[in-house]
Amino acid sequence: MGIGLGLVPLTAAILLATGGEPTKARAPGTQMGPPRLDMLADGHICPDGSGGYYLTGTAGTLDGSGRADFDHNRGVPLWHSKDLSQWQCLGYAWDRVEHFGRTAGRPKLGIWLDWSAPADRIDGLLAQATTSPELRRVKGAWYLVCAMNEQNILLQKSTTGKAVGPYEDYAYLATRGGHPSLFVDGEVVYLVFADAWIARLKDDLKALAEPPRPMLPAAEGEPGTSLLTLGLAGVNAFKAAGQYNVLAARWRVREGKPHCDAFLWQAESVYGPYQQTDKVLLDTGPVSVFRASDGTWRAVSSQPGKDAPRIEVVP
Amino acid sequence: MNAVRREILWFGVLAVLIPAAVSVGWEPRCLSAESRARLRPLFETPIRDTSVCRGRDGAWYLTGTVATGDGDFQNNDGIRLWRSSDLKEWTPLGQVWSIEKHATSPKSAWQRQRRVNPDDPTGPLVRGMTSPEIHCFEGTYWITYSMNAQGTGLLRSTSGKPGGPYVDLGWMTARGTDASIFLDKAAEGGKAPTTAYWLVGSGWIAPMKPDRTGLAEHPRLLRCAPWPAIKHARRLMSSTHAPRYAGQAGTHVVKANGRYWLLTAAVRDRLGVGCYDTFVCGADRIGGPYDAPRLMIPHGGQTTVFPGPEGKLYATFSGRDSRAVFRDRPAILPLIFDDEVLYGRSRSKPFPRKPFGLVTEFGPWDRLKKVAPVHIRDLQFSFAPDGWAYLTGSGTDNAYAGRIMVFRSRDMNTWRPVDVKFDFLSIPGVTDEDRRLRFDGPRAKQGLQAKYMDSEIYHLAGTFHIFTSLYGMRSTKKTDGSAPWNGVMWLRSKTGKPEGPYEYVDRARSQSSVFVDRDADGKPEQTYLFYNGTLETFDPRGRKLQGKRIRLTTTSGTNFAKGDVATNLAKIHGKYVVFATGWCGGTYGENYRVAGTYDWVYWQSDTLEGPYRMPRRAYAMPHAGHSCVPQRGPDGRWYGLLFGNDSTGPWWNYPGVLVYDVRLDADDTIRIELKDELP
Repeated sequence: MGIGLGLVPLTAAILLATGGEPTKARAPGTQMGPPRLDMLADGHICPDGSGGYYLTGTAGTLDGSGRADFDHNRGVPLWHSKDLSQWQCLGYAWDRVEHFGRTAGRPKLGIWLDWSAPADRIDGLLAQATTSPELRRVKGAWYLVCAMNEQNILLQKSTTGKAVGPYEDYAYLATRGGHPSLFVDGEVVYLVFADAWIARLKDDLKALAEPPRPMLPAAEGEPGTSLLTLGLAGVNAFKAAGQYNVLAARWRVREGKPHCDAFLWQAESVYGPYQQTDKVLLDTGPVSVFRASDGTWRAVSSQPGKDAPRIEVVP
Repeated sequence: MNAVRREILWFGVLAVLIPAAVSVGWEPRCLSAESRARLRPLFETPIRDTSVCRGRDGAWYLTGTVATGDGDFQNNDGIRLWRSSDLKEWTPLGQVWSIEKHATSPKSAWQRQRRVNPDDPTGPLVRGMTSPEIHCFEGTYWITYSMNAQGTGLLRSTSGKPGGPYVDLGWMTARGTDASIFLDKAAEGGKAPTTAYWLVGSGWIAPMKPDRTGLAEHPRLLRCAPWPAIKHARRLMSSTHAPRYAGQAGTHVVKANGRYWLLTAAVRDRLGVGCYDTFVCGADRIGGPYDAPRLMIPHGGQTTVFPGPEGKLYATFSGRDSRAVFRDRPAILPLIFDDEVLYGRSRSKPFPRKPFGLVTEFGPWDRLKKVAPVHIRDLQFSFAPDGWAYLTGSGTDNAYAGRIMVFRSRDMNTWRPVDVKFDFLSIPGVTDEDRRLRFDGPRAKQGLQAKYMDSEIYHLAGTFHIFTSLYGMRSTKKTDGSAPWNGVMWLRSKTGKPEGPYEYVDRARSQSSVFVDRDADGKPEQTYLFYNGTLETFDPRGRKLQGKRIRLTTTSGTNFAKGDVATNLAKIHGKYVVFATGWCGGTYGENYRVAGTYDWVYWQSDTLEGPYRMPRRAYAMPHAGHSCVPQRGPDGRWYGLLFGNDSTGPWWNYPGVLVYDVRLDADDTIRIELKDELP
């Protein structure tokens, strides 16, 4: 069984999430206020290397009518936990407002100054959100890989060698796709993004080393019977027991109702083709994956509106 | 950064905005239509994903996703068909396939299942046949279909007639949506048989079995070249940063003019909102490689292409998004082949596209008139106490070489030129050599160096003021090796009259606009210059610009403008509102100008200093980039301007007047929406 956080009282979680003074410069206006654990989407957990964990994700804000809005935020929120249960808010690891002021409105890459409608959404309206961030430690350095409005994938590097940052623009990896993830396979680092697309990064992580290609299901059986893609956008790759694994979610009907379950796919090569296994995480939606200190692989699914992300052991 | 360096930088930005190889008198073909017309629906039945084919009898047959109830496009009982012998009058042929009546065989059992609603996955399950396409080949009619975007199938008429009866050949792909068939007659006249390809969703293709009962191979993904890139922050995105798919859905392939054309529907945030457009990529072989996507039909969505009268190609139009000329009604339009790509740096082969002048976007674009027959950019207008509205901008028309362009109107309809008098030689330090190099000779008059640019006119402290610029001349030097005089200037009428004559007061800031902050009684409290998000106090009666500067910020840590620096400030309905230019329709690393829109966006704050927030659920003000603050006229209507700077606007570099709805909503948010009205 995974370690669930459902028992943490809502109010306590919010106090933990918003307690203290998480940012030096408070967000202007209540709508862009401190991170809230109950308004976190696309949650991702990364071990801190000392037995603890960092949690990040897409920060939600409140719109004028009090609803959670994931199209407007001020950056990448960060929490820390020693036990995957109690989370301490560390504020914004990457803060666009602070960054804008520090660089006099001219950050190195400029991407963060962009606003656009979210990708692939008919009638989507202008947004300014850092989306689907992941914290990763690669070759001893801390990186944030994230998207802007589900596109414009960027890599940020900690200037202090610490996970809490501050972070600086490091590389502009892709114009479209969103939902980025870094997959470290020995000395090789890949960008996995969108609905399971992959490209190897250059050794210095400054750019893609090859055109992205889709990670596709194995073409088996009668033509037309196979799934065209692994699943919805937002996947993580991980290597276990010599196999490349991807958890990809898709909607299906179970017991007469719609459910979004995450299916485990495996391949001999990171590029695929991938075979669907019989291992399923029920009702998780898209998940991210991390390795806990006990060696087990855990899947993180976001539950906006609830007090914490859901964490389950990958079967 | 000092002001001079900043001005030089901004001149560089402006140079990028105007195509480099283009003289100021040049006009693109795509914006030179002699007349414009609005696309109209074929009939008033709610239909999406319209498909048309030409039948064996020479008539045309139409189908599509039909709605039930209150615009529900996911629940229906099957497929309906319409017929026309002239593409104008359409006769319903009724329902040619009913799930309840016809889906009785084992092959059709899957049709009877209920599925996840792709428009609302957590909502109740749905059952409907979506995005059907009708095809006529091999002596009969075929209808491809999808079951709520979760699998595709095929019907065949057993009678050879479009009305059926049809037999279900079952599902072709267990996943995917928007099925289509392409018959490759590449071997026509040769020995190889015609190959039928099954197309699905975002670009999946597979050859069909000879008897068309299934696929002969597993589908593979067709891909296209990357979206055109452009340098940003000194970085050019390489071709490795390719798009994932040619489009998002609705794949359709047609062969014409010796090339294969891959048509897909994709969302682009042109106009600051997710528009569901039709894009096209060309290839010499069915399997590709395909060119970079080109905008084929703005708001077209999922389309099919079919031969019309005399073999001329037509395309269907869906109109899914809120900025379409109409929504969810069937329509068709003829296609033209043309290679012009505005702002595109690479040469393009002629590709199929919407006819120039045919309007597929919401707004008054088919009826809008140019208010003056001269080229102008970067428009601004203001009302003066004399009852006239005064309009100016970058007077790029050659007729205005060496002259400041100003027009005035009492009704926002009829605009008359004002003969502005200003002596360039009155600027301190300017010599006759400066004047001669900048303005003399036919060649000089055709360039931008002879034009007064970014002009704005205001009535302040009892007289008229003009802020205007003369751009730097990179390749021209004076005899002493220095550059001819250039810069931004503050001019003031010495007579209180709009025609002047004007005196030079001081150097101004690039792309300056004026904001007068007033108290509750409307009395002026402080006058500011506003440029690229920076406020600077100034005294209209003074002789120097040396006020206190305030850099305004946004709540989200972004710039006000995107791909430009032009900004204006106003107080509307008690809110401070910053207006800024935004290129919409692409991401940062892409050349979003190619198919993007040059729009005007706005940010609001309760305080002058901000921070300013972009109103949530706000649209951009379409095609009105680098214009001005909308203002309420004597008739109570709100007016704004546009000049046309993108490939889907009404024209290229002429003045136009738009009417807006400007209101403060109950959620304390300023809403500015274009009205389908003329001034």
